[in-house]
Amino acid sequence: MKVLSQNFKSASKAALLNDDLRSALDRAEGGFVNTRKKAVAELRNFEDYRTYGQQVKDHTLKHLGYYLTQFENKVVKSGGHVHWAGNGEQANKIILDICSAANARKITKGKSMVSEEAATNKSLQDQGYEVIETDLGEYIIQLAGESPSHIIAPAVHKSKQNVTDLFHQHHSRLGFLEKVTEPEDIVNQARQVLRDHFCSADVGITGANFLVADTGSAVIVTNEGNGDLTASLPGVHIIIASIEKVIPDLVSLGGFLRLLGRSATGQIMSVYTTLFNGPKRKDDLDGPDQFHVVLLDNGRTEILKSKYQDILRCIRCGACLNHCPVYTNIGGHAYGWVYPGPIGSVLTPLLVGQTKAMHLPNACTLNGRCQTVCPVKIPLPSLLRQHRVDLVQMGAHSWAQKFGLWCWYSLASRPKWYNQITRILVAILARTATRGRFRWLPLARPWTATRDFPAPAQSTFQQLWKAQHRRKT
Amino acid sequence: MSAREAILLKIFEVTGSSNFGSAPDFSIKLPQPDYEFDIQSNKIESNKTDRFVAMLAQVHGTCEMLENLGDVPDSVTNYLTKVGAELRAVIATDEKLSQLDWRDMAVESRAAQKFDRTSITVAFAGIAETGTIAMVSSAQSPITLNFLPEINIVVLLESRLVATMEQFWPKIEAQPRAINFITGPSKTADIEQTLVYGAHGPRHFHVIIVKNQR
Repeated sequence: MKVLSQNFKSASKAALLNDDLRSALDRAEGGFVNTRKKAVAELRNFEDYRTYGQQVKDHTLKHLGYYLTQFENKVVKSGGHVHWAGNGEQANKIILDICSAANARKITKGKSMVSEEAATNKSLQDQGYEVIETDLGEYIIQLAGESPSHIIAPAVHKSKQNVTDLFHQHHSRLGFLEKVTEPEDIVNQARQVLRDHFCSADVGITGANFLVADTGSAVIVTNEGNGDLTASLPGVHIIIASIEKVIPDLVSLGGFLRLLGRSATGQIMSVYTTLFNGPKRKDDLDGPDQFHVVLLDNGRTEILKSKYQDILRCIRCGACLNHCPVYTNIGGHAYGWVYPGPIGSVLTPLLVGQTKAMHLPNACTLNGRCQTVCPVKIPLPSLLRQHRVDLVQMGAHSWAQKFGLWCWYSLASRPKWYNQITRILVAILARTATRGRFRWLPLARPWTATRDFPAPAQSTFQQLWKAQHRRKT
Repeated sequence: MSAREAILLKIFEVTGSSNFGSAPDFSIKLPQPDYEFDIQSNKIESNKTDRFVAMLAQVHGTCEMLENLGDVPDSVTNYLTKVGAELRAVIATDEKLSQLDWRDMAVESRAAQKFDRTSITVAFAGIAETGTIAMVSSAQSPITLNFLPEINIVVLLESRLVATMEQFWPKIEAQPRAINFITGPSKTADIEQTLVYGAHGPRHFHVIIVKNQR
């Protein structure tokens, strides 16, 4: 996927002025936050599971080589093929080769974020393959020619009216002449259209939520059942997954499933959780003849080496997005690449370059809500702060920012000056304010353009402290 | 150098050689789930069934309890009549189903096809904690029956009900091609967060719990 993160400032400004988008986000946020809260409360020792998730992921990362090769051996034993890809291009080449060897024409696809990283759809379409996304949200944005704006709800930014129009535009040639306006009818029409594709596809591509090393199982979790139809009906099933998806065994899978559904959609268990172990067996009546797993690095081994290793624990539940005051106001597209929200603000700079995505870690209030809901306890605010430190050390900021920081540094490291100057400033501000606030202030236009700036108290904290101290003694 | 070698070499640089030899000591203990509703206690066996039924209802699944396996065809006929469906179904290639006297029903034993309306399967197990049905693929249990039809009826022997997923894993002897955990009918909330059932998979998910395998 093309990187547009460098445009974050203008894109987020535009998003804030987009009323349709804001109301779509408002609708989603409340739902996600409340259902998660309820589902988490129902499991009284949910916190123990978060600790467990963190420990198991850390353990797996520490022994990543062992678990990946164990997974590979088990897949091969059950008759599947494992391919390794250093980057998206290599992964796409592998997938193209499999599709061409299978004489494929039509390819159905389940939701996969790493395939967005690799821009797999485009690479297949450029070679003349018909590619159909089958998750309803993904299908909608594919029709719209857009990218996902949320990890688990890719079309969260689309209104019902948008979908009605899109379906009318694309489905009338298939004989669906009337506009569908109710959610039931929209879903039903998608069901009919996609059913034909499921049953006529030559290859099915899905992602994986987990790879179980001990059994060689690729696990996918969905609510619609599209992943299972994609995986079971065509003659070839290809799974694309990044290397940090591996976990030790089935028991640990049980732990992660208790975390994932609750954190993602507030479900105690998602509707479909499927373990795939290789191709169709001798006596099976259905299932694919070929089973391929593409293990994708795409920057993970670099992250493993870095101070950002903790981010590799992520299980892509999207809880940090739903609880982020920035994401819930600007939506996913402003972030300019595959992963939005707090996880995106940490991951995008690591995968596409820190300077290119430098606005992302800076657009954070460090309120810490993301960390408190993360099912694997990723210290997201600390990692975002680390990015800021790196950016300063790299000298990535503009001249004005550097000068501003230098001024602040010079002042803050000289307590005497600091006290004097703040005292004078505060006194002036307190006296010049009208009714306790400012409608305009020099250098503060971005703030005062949309709201008043509150006037400070008459004296500084230092002054008050000294005064009180004097009284006591 | 192949991509495989390159990736493993990079991992090796970070984690050291211990990575590739013998199995690491994985001793992190999975917590026991703690619910208000006690499903672990073996003293109250009926708790498992109650929890299963309650959890299934929460996710819009329906349930019926029968004494004997022989009562299944009548129960299916009643259910299909109630939801207004044709008395025709594809049944799993499982002896438990094919030996039954289906009387009013037209049944075929095979994998599912595009326009099949109703499927009837036999659950490998049920998990009480989450109201989940576990299906294990085999020549007797084609997986397409779980996903293609609009109505999916699952026969679950009560003796196959376990409390948690941890109690389920040991029941699997050799890994099958696929294990499907199913918790309710297919659904989506992709249109303005409105919950709609029957996205791509079954719109109706009906479990018949049978006490005796007769």
